Amino acid sequence: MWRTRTQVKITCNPTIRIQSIWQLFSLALKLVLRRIDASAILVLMLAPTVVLLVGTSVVAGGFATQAQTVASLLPSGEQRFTAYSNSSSSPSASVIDFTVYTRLRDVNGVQWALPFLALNGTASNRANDLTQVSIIGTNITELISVKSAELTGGLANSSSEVDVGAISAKVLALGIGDNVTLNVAGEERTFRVAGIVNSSSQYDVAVLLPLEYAWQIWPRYTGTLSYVEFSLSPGGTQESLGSIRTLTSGGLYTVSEQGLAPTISSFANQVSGLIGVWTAVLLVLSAVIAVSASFRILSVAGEEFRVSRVIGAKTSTAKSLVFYELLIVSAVSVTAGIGGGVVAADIFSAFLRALSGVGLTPLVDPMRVGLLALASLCFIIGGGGGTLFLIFGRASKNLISYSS
Amino acid sequence: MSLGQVSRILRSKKALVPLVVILVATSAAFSLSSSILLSIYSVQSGAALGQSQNIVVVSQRGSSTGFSGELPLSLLGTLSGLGGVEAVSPEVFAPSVILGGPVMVRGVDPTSFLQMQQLQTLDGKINNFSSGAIVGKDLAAKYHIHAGSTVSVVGDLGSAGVVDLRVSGIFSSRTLLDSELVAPLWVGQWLRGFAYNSVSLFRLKIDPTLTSASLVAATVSSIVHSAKNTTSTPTFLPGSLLSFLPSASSTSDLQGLSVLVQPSSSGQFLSSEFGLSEDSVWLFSALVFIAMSVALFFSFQESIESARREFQTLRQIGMTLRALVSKLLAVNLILSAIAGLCGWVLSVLILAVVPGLESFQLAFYIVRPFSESGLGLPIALAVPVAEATVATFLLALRLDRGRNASRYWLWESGGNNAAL
Repeated sequence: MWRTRTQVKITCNPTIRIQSIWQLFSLALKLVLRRIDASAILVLMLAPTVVLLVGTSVVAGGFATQAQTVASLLPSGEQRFTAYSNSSSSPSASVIDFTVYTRLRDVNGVQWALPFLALNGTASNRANDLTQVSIIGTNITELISVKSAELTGGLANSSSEVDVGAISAKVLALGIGDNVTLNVAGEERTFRVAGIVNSSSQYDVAVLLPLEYAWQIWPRYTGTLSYVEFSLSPGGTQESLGSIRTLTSGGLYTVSEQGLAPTISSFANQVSGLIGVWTAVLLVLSAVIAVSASFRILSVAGEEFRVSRVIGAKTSTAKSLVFYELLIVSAVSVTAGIGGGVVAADIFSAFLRALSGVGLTPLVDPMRVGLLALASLCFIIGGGGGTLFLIFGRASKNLISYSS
Repeated sequence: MSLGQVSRILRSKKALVPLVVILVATSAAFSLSSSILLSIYSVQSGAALGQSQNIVVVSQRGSSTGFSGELPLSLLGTLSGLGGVEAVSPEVFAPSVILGGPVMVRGVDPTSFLQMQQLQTLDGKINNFSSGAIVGKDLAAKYHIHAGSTVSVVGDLGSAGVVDLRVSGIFSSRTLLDSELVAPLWVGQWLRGFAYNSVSLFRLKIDPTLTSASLVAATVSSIVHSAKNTTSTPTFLPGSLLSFLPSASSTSDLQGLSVLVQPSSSGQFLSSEFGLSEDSVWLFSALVFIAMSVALFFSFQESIESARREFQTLRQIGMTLRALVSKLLAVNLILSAIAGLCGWVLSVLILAVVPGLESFQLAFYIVRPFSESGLGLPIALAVPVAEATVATFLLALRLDRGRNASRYWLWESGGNNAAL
């Protein structure tokens, strides 16, 4: 603005009084429209971050829905669980009471339950080849049934017999009828190999014996288990799970063999988490751009502010005028940003389909988009309004010295 | 007319500070976005299967990804006998869960695997893990695993229950393998739900001077095509871990088999199922670029428009357009370069400090945007500088078109006063 030394006589027109917020708002709107070029530039500065926010949210929503759909189409089958002490880092290191098994077995809806006592030790054959093994005390008959295992030879049915896992048998070159020496915590004992079990599971690298004989041979473990594996029948049910949760709430940890569905669902959660952080970054960015936009609003509307004060408007009225202009520009920016974001998401998915044949349908969640719009508006008004508030103090003082 | 005078004009209009603020913020956003997107892209395009110039992957044709197929272990003998093949590693990929999070467990024969892969030992021992497992450094860091730990793993596709594995060592490979847990082949088979005579794929180390991926593909296809229906039992080297596998009992397996050599990257799974592909990463980058560029362009426009009268007056009193543009361009370029650098530094700080950004999980792989942040610097510098150049030229030309400063001033001040 050019400064002049010309004497200007200003007559205060008492009829220029803003009666209501609506009048002030409509005046601000007129000023914004009158400076349509400058206003459009401000909108174009603020809208892109909202476009990114909304567009990202819509695309991410489509991705999450697609992931959930894929997950729901996967077969779930029998639900299998492993329960062990929650004070242990792993089932094999856990110690729980045998009654946990009996209570789990008796829950309505539990198809089968297996107790396991896992001991760490070494096994050696007649050639004294030594290898680390797990020594498992369990119900071998039921284990074979549940794991659909193949048994070569017979079941161990005395305290001097064991069944050896198929891989351990090969490592130790053991056959049926051979002897194997097991060492658990310094106690050595020799057993006869009654059978070889091929279960396609971790029990193929273990040595198995009936649980009651394990307690008999190593009495310090009597009445204790390491973990319990159990299964719910396909029909059951939330009630069964509830009973199990109650049972296991005191000191037990339950791991489920969940299938691929939860893993795929977790992919959607990963993307959602990343989008959340990205959203926060964009909101801060929108506030920063709003600070800059408010400088521009003030430099353009500052003249109106000064003139309105000179002809008698109150300071609060003049400040409100400028603030309403910021409000209008912010609202238009957010509205344009929402529209732009939805369109951008559609264009994004169309391009994706054309380029790689991948179908990703954007999901417009009105609630989420509304919340994002509100958050953007708050950040923009907060950034811009705060800046105006800080700057106004100086402007007011300058104006007072000018008018006097 | 010096650069300082031009910057003083802009500063007097309170245009410089907002412009710098926006430049720093958008540069930081650009750099942050590029680091995150580049790290995602590294997963999409990365050789998660382990293929490279002299490592050829053989998988089942028709499977949705390279690691979701199934091949007979008996193919090992056929592949080992091919000319130019130095080593063959049968591998099983088992998507699993460890400590509540997804993980890819790779079941291998330790001897042949270590012939394929250059691994650096970070903790413990990695040369013999036949009774336990070794863990990549990214996975180890995420779950605080060290040599001697016992980890419990549950397979997504198997029914083996919880498998406890003792970690014998931690390794670094500078590949996506650093997000995986590597265990004996049978562990992968348990977790994957495979029988002992099945694997997911084979990796072949070839001598590029003697053979190539296409030659291997042609040879394998012809062998498979002419295979008769016979019972086959794979034969292994003495002492190999594979010799401890229970014998294959099914009939073969080679007849009717369809193999694919050098399948696409691991991203194929994410692409086909969720639309998270390389193309989508690039498209999203373009969206971010366009959106931020609009904000930047109009910020530059604002700064120049705010001093429109001054610049038009300068033109009126004889300053050439060329001189004005060159001065404006110089100021904007310097500002852009400095702000771009500051923005990049800010983005690196954000990546280092904000939880969830320093490293995050994408499917089975752990990505570290921080490691890609160096690539964000040229982007953080180049984009504002390019925007500054384009905006300055366009806007200076616009200024020149509306050169009647008096008429503009009268129109604007008359309009504003009338509103009140």
